Amino acid sequence: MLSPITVGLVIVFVVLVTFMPIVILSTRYRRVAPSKALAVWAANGTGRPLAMVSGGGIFVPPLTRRTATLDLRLRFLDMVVPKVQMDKDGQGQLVRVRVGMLYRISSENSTLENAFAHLVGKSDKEIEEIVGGAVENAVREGLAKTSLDKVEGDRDALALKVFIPALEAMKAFGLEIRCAAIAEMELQGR
Amino acid sequence: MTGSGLSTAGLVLVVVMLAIVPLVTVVIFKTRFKRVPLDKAMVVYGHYMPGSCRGYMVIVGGAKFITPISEEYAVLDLSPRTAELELRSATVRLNDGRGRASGKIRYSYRVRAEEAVLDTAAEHLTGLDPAEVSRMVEGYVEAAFKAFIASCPFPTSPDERRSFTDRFLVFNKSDLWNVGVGLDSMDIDGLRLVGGG
Repeated sequence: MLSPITVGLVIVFVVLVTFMPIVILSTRYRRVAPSKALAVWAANGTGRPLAMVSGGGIFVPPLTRRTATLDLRLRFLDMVVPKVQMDKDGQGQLVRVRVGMLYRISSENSTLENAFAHLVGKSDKEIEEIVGGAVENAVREGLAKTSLDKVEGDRDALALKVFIPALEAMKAFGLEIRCAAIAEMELQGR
Repeated sequence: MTGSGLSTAGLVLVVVMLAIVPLVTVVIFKTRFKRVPLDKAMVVYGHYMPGSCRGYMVIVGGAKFITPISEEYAVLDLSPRTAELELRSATVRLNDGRGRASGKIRYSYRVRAEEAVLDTAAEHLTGLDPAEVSRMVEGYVEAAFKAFIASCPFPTSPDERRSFTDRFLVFNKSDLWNVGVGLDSMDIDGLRLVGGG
């Protein structure tokens, strides 16, 4: 007949064998919301991720894999670009441009790879600075060869002229514009 | 310890297990069974969902058992919200050039419950605080409205105002649907031309 100690050990062993896989699974199975993305690399690997998940789940084996997460939620940029140089009949004019834009880190696979390469570990403020830089350059370049009189009445056409180059620049960082508008264009004194 | 002692211990263990298993099952079911009212959407994610090629599903008006370990959920608020936009000396387009207008515009919007748009909302808004969603949507509507009123002829009569708001709602529909939100109505009665243009 088994001794009480042996019975105790058997019970402990059975409990461990039953619950350890559950504990490992629950701690290593990563659930990823549709507004987040998770990339998995080999523990010592760099470059392209082995897997990327957005809106789903993945089991990440312990020790042999490393992961990083990005927040794909919607973000809003309300930005004023001062002293934008425009051309009026060969004479320069300075304009203050205000832009309102909804953007986010893209969930599309190829763009998301760029995001994992450039944005992991960056704060919201740093991401906003990247977007702000891309939008400012696009505004300055888009408006340089036209005048306020010509474009003010058709902000839609102007928005395309400005936001398509901005979108291309942002795509390189894994970001995308969801909707954008040029809210204000005001003449500024020199 | 004798054989009868061991069997007593075993019996106690079996009785305890028989009591615990149903109790734990009931507790798990009670804590993980989630009901969703009609003004909320529940985004369930964690694995490929049956009948879907995605790793998440969105439920409006219903209920679902959230499987422990493999599933997690978040809630989106679908209730309508109203907002007021105050224009101060905004640039407007007049028949004979440019002018300035001020006034208040009231509008309502909400996260859309239509299936295709709801998925977009889940991808863009899950995990965001409703106040943060409002801040972003209202910020964008302000920018879009200012761009629109600077490009379209200024409405002067009630009929023109109605047609103006209808055009803005249509114009903005595709924009905001890109993030899972839709404008429901807009009232621009308080808008008037001011000096300084």
